[in-house]
Amino acid sequence: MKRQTGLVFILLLFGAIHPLAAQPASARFEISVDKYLMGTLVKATVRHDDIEAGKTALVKAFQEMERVEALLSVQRASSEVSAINQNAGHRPVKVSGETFAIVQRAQSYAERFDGLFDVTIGPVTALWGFNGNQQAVLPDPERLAERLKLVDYRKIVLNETDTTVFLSTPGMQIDLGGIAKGYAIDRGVAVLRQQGLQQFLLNAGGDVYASGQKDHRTDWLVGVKHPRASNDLLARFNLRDVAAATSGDYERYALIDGTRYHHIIDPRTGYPGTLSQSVTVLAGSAEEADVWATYLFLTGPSSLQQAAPQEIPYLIVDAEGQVQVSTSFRAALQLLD
Amino acid sequence: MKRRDFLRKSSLIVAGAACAGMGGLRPRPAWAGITTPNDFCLDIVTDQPGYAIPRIEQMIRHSALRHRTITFEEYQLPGRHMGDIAFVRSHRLIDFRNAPDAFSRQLTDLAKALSLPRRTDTPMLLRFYTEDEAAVPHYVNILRGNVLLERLPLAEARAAHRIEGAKASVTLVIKDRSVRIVAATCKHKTCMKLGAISRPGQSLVCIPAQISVALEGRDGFGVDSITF
Repeated sequence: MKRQTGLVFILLLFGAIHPLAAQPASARFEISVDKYLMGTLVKATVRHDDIEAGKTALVKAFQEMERVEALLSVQRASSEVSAINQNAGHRPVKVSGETFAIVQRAQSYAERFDGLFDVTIGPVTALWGFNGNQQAVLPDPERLAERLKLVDYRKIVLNETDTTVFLSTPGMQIDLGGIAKGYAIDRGVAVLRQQGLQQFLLNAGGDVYASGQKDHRTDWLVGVKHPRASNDLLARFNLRDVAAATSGDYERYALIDGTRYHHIIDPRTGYPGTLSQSVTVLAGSAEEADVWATYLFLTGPSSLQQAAPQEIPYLIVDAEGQVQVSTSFRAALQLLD
Repeated sequence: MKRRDFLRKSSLIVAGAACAGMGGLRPRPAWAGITTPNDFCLDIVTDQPGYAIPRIEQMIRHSALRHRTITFEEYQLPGRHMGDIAFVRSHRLIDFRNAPDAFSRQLTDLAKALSLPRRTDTPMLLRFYTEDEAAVPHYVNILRGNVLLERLPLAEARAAHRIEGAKASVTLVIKDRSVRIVAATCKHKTCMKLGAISRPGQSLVCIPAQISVALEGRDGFGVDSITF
């Protein structure tokens, strides 16, 4: 086996433990790879009859996710998104069809969610210091108000003919962090499926996609982290061919003068959303789940009935710690004490 | 950590004893009396993982373990180490070179083919073990990528243990069989806010440092993945 620097492989030779359980005809291997990507830890797990084939598939999936990161990361000066930001107010930037399409979708999400999901939030989140290796600070209100004027998804000018993106106001920045992680997972899923894999699990910083079943009898089992007890789970549920994403106020936050300030900024106010502690959403793609989780987190529980269509399964913990579960999620979800 | 101390802690016998949860060396048939799914651990330190892994796979496929759940972990060990094979069954370190069963004989052949024991530079630690969701982890692994920087016993309390990472360093404390990061030189200090961990498979991750502080085992919560 080739040495894979930066990767950790965890393999499981999987078979039925219970003597009465139906046993696979041949050994099944579970192979996992951990890698730091997109400012988070990405873990991919596949099940395959052949270890080398499984590992090769994982390497290709990670290469694909790395490619997506190189296109969309605002932390990389060479990315297409950085080029768009660097030319804000100056000139349109020609980008790949792929980057154009994701910015286009981001704008569509913003329209659908009345600006509560807005990728032009970049200048404001930068002021809070939640991006990259920065210390979170309480921004000066005047500076925050100035930055907030730059937040408007309608000022992203898209030209489909030549696939250019133009931020019409100097100082505008788009930050695809709320959508790119999910999109990268979806691309990883596509690559694994192209290689014929059906049983796998991808987790990028808490956004999860489960493909197929864990084995021939059971689905993958996913836990929801408790927003106020870091060593406990709040709930768990089975997942098959569906993505789950959680937006919470408990991973990236700072306590300033006794108040919790976290990284999910409300584009209307420039301040972190205060209506929820945690929102978990299931959707067909990780991108959708990611965006929905952010949106519902900011919407809060009081508006959920109007905000979320019935087919969107969600679990929300409101600001007081009360749990609400959508009807579509109730049967599958097990709340834990 | 002193290099000598690290070598001692990552050596095969220590690894084997960690699998066993106790010491003891007994030449007995490798598969006799296996009744629970958490009584198997095989550690190999070698500079020829590409040769060793497929052979171990085949041995497992043709053994009584073929219907069991076996976790395999692969880590790079920086520095010079004594390469060898440690085999633990039923919480006992097995003297496989003197055991009569087929699996032990195959292990002996593999050790000869790999010219083990011998000292090697930057070898890989290959670990196959049965999963035990209820197990209490014995060690905390400090990882940078797949490089196993240190392996610290959870039973030994440790104050202010500093680990240098990529763009930051972290300081951990081991107390009451749990681990907590108490200081980090990065700006957002997320890993410090994650609290203490004590379940198998739990980890504390510092993204700027690219350091994972991971308790041995997996599925401490009985789930396959966690959304957060």
